[in-house]
Amino acid sequence: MLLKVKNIQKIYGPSCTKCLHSTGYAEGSIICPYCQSVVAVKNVSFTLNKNQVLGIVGESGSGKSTLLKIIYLLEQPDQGELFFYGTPELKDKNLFQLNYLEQNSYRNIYASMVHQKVQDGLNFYFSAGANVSERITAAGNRKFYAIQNQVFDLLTQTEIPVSRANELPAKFSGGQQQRIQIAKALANSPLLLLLDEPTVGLDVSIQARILDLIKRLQEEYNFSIIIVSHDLSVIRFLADLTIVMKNGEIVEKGLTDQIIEDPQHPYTQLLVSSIL
Amino acid sequence: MLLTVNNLGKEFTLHLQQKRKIKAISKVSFALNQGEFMCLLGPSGAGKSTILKCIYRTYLPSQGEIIYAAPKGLIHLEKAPEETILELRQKDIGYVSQFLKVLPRISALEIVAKPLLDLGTDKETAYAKAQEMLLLLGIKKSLHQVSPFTFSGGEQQRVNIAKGIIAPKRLLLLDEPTASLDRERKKIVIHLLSQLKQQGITMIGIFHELDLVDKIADKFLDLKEVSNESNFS
Repeated sequence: MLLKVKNIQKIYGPSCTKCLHSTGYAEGSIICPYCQSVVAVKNVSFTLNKNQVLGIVGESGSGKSTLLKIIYLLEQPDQGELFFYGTPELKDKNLFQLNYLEQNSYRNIYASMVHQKVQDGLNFYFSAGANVSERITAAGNRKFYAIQNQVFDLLTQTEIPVSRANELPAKFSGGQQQRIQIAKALANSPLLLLLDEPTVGLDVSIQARILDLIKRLQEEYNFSIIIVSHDLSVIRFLADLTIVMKNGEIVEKGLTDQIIEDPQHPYTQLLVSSIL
Repeated sequence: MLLTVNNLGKEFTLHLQQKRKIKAISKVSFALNQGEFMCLLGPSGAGKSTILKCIYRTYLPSQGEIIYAAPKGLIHLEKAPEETILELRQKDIGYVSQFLKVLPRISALEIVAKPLLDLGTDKETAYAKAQEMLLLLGIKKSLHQVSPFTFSGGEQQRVNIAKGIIAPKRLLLLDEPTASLDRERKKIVIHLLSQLKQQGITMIGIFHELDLVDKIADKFLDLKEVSNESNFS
């Protein structure tokens, strides 16, 4: 096992005793009618093994992106525990209770995230190469040429011309910007890669290239992936296991081919029937 | 027994259509020893693919049990955790689908070589064996570097079979593997399957050409009608 997610809950707003009972799939809403709080994530638990790809599919407001940010320690949940077994130093410790340095070490070395909006993942005032090297230096590396070689290697792997390493992100296309994000996310050889709708808004041909790249890198380096998408065909392409979320809750969990060919939950059946 | 199926039933509940229930199979039972070849028979819609998909866990069985004798011990496939099923799919149980699921960006050679590469075979050997297998099944060399996306149905199916048998798993589930092939090619495929049988591979296959599989089949399972009890001989 690599990751254990236990009973995650996240409510935005004052919250009250009635929040949990009056929101969710059956209630048809994530907004508590009594205190107007948003119950973004309600009691989510799952585990992830090494070399496994998990897809989280759901529509807008399902809580999937919030869940991913919580797993990357960008946000604190109200309740829940997170355990990471990729390194002995973090074993059996609830990641939400780590000190700042330990959390940083998790975010910089063992896990990484590719954001939906490139602006959230890259600094547009730094060059492409500098963005990638930032993660490498964050792990404590200080030798210039070693860092530079790693940066060039990562850019090559994500098919960004090394000759353009000193250019600012704004000079690249949307697809290239996303690939720079991926290059950065691969730095320090993470064990867990978190992808938040990595191809949304990109042209289909670019989407295919990026997904092919992610698949190829996963097969080569065997890191685990949690990929969040509203598009079942993206999930089908990459994920072995799938979780379906609606209104902050998990409604179904299973093997990806089973979720698509034999969906059990009414909402999953609706999603599958909506594939073009 | 390598595989024991007891009272297998599968029912689909269509929540989008007033929770209408569709019964696909009911009370299916059989057992297979290692190295045996079982042929599933029955008219279209009788539930033959459903049985295979329940074993592979693409479908969640509604009733019954499917017990597989893995090297580590007996596993109930109908309720095993997903991690266990994924592990079994890697090495133990293979599924050759009825139609090739093809992505336009991957060549025939890459598709067929992949199972060997997954096992750790080096690239050169894997690609050489893949080429050999494709030629054996009559896919000419000029097509090897091309994606099967534009191949004919029969050609796609031959790529599919090549992929399924190049690195055979202990138990092979074959869903109408010869349906789109001409008679000569059917014979070649069945000959390849009999070679696998000699290696000790256990197989369950859906075939319509009884005369061709007669020689290698040890058991037959006839699903006469939907939702009737099956006849096992």
